[in-house]
Amino acid sequence: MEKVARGVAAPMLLLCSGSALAHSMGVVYNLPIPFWMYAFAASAALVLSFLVVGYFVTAQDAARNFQTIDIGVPAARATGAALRVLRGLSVFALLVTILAGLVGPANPFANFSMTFFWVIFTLGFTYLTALIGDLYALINPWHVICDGIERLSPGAFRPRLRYPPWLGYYPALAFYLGFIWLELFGQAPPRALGLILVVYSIVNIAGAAAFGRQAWFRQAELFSVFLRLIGKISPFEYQPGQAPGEPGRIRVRQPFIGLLQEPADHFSLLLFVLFMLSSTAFDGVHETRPWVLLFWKGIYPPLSRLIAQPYLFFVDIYYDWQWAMLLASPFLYLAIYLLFVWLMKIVTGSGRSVRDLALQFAFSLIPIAFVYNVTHYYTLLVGQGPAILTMISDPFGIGWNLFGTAHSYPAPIILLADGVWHTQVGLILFGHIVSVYLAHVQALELFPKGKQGVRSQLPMLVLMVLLTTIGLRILSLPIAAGQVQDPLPQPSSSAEATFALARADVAFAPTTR
Amino acid sequence: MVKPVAFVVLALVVVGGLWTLFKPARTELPARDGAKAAAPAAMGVPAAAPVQSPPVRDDVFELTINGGKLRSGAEVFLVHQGERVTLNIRSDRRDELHLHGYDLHAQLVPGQIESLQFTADRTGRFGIELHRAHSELGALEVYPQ
Repeated sequence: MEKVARGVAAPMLLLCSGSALAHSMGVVYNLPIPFWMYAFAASAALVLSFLVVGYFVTAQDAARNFQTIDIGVPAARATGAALRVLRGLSVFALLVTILAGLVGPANPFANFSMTFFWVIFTLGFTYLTALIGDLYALINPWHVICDGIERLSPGAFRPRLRYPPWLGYYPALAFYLGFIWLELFGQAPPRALGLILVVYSIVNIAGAAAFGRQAWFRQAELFSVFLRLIGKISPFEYQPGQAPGEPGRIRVRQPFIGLLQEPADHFSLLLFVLFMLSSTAFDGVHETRPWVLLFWKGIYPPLSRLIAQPYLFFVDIYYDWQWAMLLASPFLYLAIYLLFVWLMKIVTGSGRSVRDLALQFAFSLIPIAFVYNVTHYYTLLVGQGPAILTMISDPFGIGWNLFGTAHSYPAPIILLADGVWHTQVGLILFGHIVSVYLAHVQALELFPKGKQGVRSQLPMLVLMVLLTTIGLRILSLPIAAGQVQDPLPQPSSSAEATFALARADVAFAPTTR
Repeated sequence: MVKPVAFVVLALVVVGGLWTLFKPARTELPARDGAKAAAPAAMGVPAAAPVQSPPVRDDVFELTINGGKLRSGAEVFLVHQGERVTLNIRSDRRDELHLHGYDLHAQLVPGQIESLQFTADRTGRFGIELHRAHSELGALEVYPQ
C-alpha cells in the first residue's frame, strides 16, 4: 500500500476532490437500498404488471373513457394580471440568478444562483409542473424577453429562416446532454453558471430571431420541451387563447392521461424521452463501486501495460470514458427499446412501422422516467432547498437582509434512511404501474382486434419490468468511496509493473475485521 | 366500478404478501464484495437468547492518514443506528477532519491520536473529508436497525 500510493498523491487529488456523491449542487446522504428491498420491489413490479394485464384481459372496455373538463378561466381579468406578475417574476428571477452567479459569493453553497438554478428550478419547479401543469410555457423567461423586444421593435422575431423539419427536437436534446454533463461533471462554480446562463439567453434570443419564437420555443429550448413533457403528467392543461388578447382556458383531466393525448411527433423527441431515463440511470450508476471498478479493474489493467506512465494518461481517459458513456446512454436505451417495439410488431402482425410504433409508445415511458428522477433527487430538494430562504435575503452576498432571513440558517434536513428507501421503492412501483397501464390503453387504441392489444403488451411489459429492475438495482449498488480508483504506481521497469499490478489487487481485496 | 376496486385490493394483498415474504427481521449491513469496508464484529449476544434490551454497541474504528490519504483502515464504516461510534484518527500532518451530516470536526496534530465519539442517531451515508488536503477519505454508512 505504501508503495502503491506514493507516486500518485497529486493526481489522486483530481479524483478525490469532490464528495463521493458530488453534484453541481448539494450533497446527497442517501444509502443504497438493501438487497432484500430490491428483490421485493422487482418481484412486486413483475406481479403487478401481470395484474394490469389481467385487468385488461377481463375489461377491454376500460380503454379511453377519459374525459377532460373545461373549467374555463375563473376570472379572466385576475388571471391575466397574475400571469403578468408571474412573467415579470420569471424574468426577474433569471436576471437575479445570472447576476448572483457573476458577482455573488464564490462558495457554491452560499451563492443564490446555484441553489436556485440547480435545486429550486430544475428539481422543485419540475415536480411542481407535474402537479400543476406546464405553467412554464406561459412564463418562460426567455420567451417573455423576446415578447418584450418584439413590442419595442415589431418584426424583430419574424421568422427569417424556416425551421427545418429534420431538425426536430435535436437542439433541445443537445442542450439536455450539455445540461446533464454540466450537472455531473462540469463542477461549474457560480461564475461559470452565470456565464452559461448569459450565453444560453443569447442563444435563445438569437434562435427565436432566426426561426421565429413559436418554432424555437416549441422544439429547441431545453426547458420548454422537458417541462411540456412533464406537464402532461399533471391533471391541469392550459390552452392559450385563440386570438391575441383572448384569455386561455384551463382543462382538468385525470393525472397522467395527458401522456396519451398525442404520440411523439418526431424521432428526436423519442430520443429525448429515452435520455430522461438514461441520464438518471447513468447518474445513479456512475459513482457506484461496480461501475468504477469496471473501468479500473476491467479496462485499465490490460491497457496500462501498453504505455509508460499509464495512470496520468488514464485519469483523463477515465473522464472521457464516463462522458462517452453518458452520451451513448440514450442510444443504448434506444436499441433496447426498438428491439422490444420490433417484437411487439412481430407479435401483433401490425402493419405499422417500427418507427411509428416506437413514437406511439414513447410517452408511456415518461412515468418511469419521472419517478426515477424524483427518487434520485428529492432528498437533495429537501436537504438543500430550504437554504434558499437564507439566500433570498442577500442574493449577491453584499450584506443585505431584504426579508430578515439573511442570518437564519435552518438546520439541514436529513431524512431517515428507511423512510427514503420506502419512498423510493414505492414511487418506482407506482411509476411502473402507471407506465404499464398507459401502454395498455395505447395498445387497445392501436390494435383494436380481439386480444391483439393485450398480446402486443407482453414485449412492452418485459421492457418496462427490465427498465424498472435496472433502476432498482442501481439504487441498491454500493457507492464508490474515496480511494476506490486506487491506481497503479508509475512503473519504472516492466518487472516493477508486473509487481505493481499484483500489489494493486491487494488494495481491492476485502479487509475483514 | 367493482372490477377496478377488486384489482386494487388484489394488488395491495399481493404487494403486502411479498413484503412480509422478503422483509428480514433486521436490516443486515450490506456485504461489500471486494470493498474495503469495516463492519465491527458483532458483540457476543447469541441470536437464540431473547434479550430484552441489548447493550448499546460500541464501534471503534482506527484510521491512519499519511500525506492526506488514508493509509490504513477501511474506506467505508458500516454501523447500525443507535450505536456508539469511535473514530481514532492518526495523521502525519496538521489537518481538519470533517464528518458530514453529523458536522463533527477533529483537529489532527501529527503524533497524536484524535478521537471522535458520537452516537450514530442519523441514518444515511456521510462523507469523511480532510479539509486541508481537500480529499475524501471515505464514508460512514449508518443503517436503520
